[in-house]
Amino acid sequence: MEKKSPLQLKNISMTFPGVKALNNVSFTAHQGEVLGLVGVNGAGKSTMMNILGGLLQPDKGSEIIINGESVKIKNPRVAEDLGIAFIQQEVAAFETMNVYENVLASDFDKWRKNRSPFLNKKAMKEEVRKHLATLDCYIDVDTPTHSLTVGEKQMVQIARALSQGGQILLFDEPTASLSDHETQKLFEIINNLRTQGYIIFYISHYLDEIFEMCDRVVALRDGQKTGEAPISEINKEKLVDMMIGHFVETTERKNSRDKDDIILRAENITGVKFPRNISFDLHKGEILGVWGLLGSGRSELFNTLLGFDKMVEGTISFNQNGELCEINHKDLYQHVGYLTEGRHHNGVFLDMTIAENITSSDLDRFASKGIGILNNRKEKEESRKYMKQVNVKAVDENMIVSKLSGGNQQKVIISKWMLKDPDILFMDEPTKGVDVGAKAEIQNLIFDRSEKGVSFVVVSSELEEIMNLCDRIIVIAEGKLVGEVNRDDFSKEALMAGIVKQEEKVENEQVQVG
Amino acid sequence: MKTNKFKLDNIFQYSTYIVLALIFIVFTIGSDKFLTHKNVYTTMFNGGPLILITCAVTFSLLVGVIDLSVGAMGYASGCLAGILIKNYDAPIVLAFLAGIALATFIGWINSVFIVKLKMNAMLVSMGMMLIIRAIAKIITHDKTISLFSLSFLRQAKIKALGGFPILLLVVFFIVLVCNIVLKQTPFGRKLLAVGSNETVAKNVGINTDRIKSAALIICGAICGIAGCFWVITLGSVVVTGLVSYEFLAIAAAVLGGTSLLGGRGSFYPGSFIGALILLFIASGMAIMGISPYAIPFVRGVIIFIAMYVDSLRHKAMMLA
Repeated sequence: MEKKSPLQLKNISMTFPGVKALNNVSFTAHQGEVLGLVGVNGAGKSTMMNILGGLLQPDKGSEIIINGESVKIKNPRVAEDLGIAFIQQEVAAFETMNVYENVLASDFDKWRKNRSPFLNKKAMKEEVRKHLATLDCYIDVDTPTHSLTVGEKQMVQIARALSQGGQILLFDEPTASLSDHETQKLFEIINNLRTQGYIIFYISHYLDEIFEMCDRVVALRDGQKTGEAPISEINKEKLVDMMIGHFVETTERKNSRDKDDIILRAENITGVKFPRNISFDLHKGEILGVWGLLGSGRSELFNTLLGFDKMVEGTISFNQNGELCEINHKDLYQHVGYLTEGRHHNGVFLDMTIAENITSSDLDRFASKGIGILNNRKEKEESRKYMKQVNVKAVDENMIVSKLSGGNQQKVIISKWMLKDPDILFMDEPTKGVDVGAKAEIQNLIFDRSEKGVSFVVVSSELEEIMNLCDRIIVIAEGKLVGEVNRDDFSKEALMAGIVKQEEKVENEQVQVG
Repeated sequence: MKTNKFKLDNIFQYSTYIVLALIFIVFTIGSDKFLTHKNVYTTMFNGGPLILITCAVTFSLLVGVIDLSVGAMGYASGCLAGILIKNYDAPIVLAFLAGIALATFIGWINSVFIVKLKMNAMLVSMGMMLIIRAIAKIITHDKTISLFSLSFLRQAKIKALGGFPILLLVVFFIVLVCNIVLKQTPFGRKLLAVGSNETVAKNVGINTDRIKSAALIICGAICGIAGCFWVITLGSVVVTGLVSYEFLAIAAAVLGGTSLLGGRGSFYPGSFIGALILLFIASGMAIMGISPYAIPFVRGVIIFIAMYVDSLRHKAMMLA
């Protein structure tokens, strides 16, 4: 390996129409160091990574110095040649190809047999095995990629980065889709790479990960560098302070309300696979948590209840004028809002404006009586009101949603449902991929609305969050209701108890069958 | 925060106007007969069917459906009206209404196949096109139906405006109504929403199937009107009537900035100006005595340019 001086970034600025995404940010990365890049959604982390990866061009006056030479990263190809490799949040793999083809996908031409048009598969496999071995990962290189786990696909992605001769590795939220076990494995690999002298950037919303993995952190806020410190010299409070400037406190949930009116009663809800025979009551103004491990059928419960998946059996009753009456999915949907899990797939209209997104949940309200002409001014006014309430960061309400950061998009979705003002709001992972500050804001908003009589049903994988938020939690395992815990008795053990029992039961059954 | 307000976005917004203006400038220099009342009016009047069919196909494109049967639906409408007038002495208004009703009905059948039965839109509408053409051929025995009784409609003109054809007002009116429906009503917004992302639309409580069906039925109805207009402008029903108009109309709509994937587009300026661009290219080239075989070639080039501009616009929108 040739001698390498550190990577230097000098006065990096980036201007988008109307927004200064980065403003004179400078820092240095050293060899054999994991540098954490932290900041809330929209602080400029992704912009910074995209500049390094060659996807965006910084403003004039910005300078990137690698190996003592000032370089211009015009496109991803140049980035690759400079040894910069990007490991993205969403694992990107060619599902229909084999592992070795995936790893070497960026440059097949290099692998032709003696300049003939044929690929030298033997040499390719040899090369890929070498890189996988560096990662301590021994997947068969002929395995079709679609049969790999998410974690293994991530390994393939990292191997690809190494095969491109990457010396500077950018990890953007690498653990977002990994299991605990896979995360530990990834950490080992990153540690391993660190000792081998790679320059590693690490972006994550999970502060624990930052403290575990990084040697040094650089904090960004509103496009400016707000702090830089070796990790050993700071603590969590200090870090959050650098990221958001102030600490958004979450209000403590007041005493669980008395059990007054039941607003929704679900009985024996059964879907095609999940859920199985689930019954529960929801009270007015209550925040009900639905907790279970991944794949336990939480989202399926929502989808079945609201009529997006087929309901095989079950009755739903809804409180109308003080009486519980049976109701069909379609009428029920008039009274509810549904914040779904996958933001990009089924959350927002990416190519429409903020205002259009917000008003889409209740358009008829803005139409005149009779022939129904939309009142655009009123639409925009209302949208502005909600944007202010939930603190959406944007130029104005006419901005296209795809230009917003993830957290802000989530806030737009929440505004949309607030505008409809439903009796019940179903939320599937409301704060996933949202930063600390926005998380607290969303939580406060839920509290505030529930005070006003709106009921919430919330799914969250984060135990701490759901225990903070909810009045009552029902626990689901394998599509069945296995437990119910009230706020006073919240604890990890209490929630897990039902799940453990369910698993034992299944095992026993299997033993009996066996 | 108001910096950069004047940017590429604005240029893109007016790109269709710019192209149309360029065409006018080029042909006005090329021939002194181009920019005359007579030529401009005749081109628009004879192009009425294309303008209307472009509006029709825009409805289907907005919800992400590429309807290839638009030309044939217009043809069916005009053909029925012509037969009723010629063979059964039906009152003209009634005959036209029957034609429009037929096209609307065909639009409904399309919607059943495409929306209810979830069949592939492009192939369903292509099949529909073939079937309509075949039936019409059998019924008319491949013969031209001449309709002299309609010439008074063709000749109705406003003298004060240098001979402005009165029926052209109908075309303008329909474009205007379509535009208001799209921009100012919940229905229009829902069209965009369904085209933009059907899952999200369903999720916010929009009855996506109903909106899509409505779009296809309206598409049929407007094609029906276009068909009547075509019969009037031509004064006869010929078998080759409105052939390959589906492609011209889709091209015009896309020229006007309507997305083939749905969720983005407009009637004015979009589809209207898009159609005018194609019409005036043909008219200008004819006046200058350029070979008629060159017209599709030039139209093709213009479409390539428009698509390139569109891809730039899309990139600017999604990335910036």
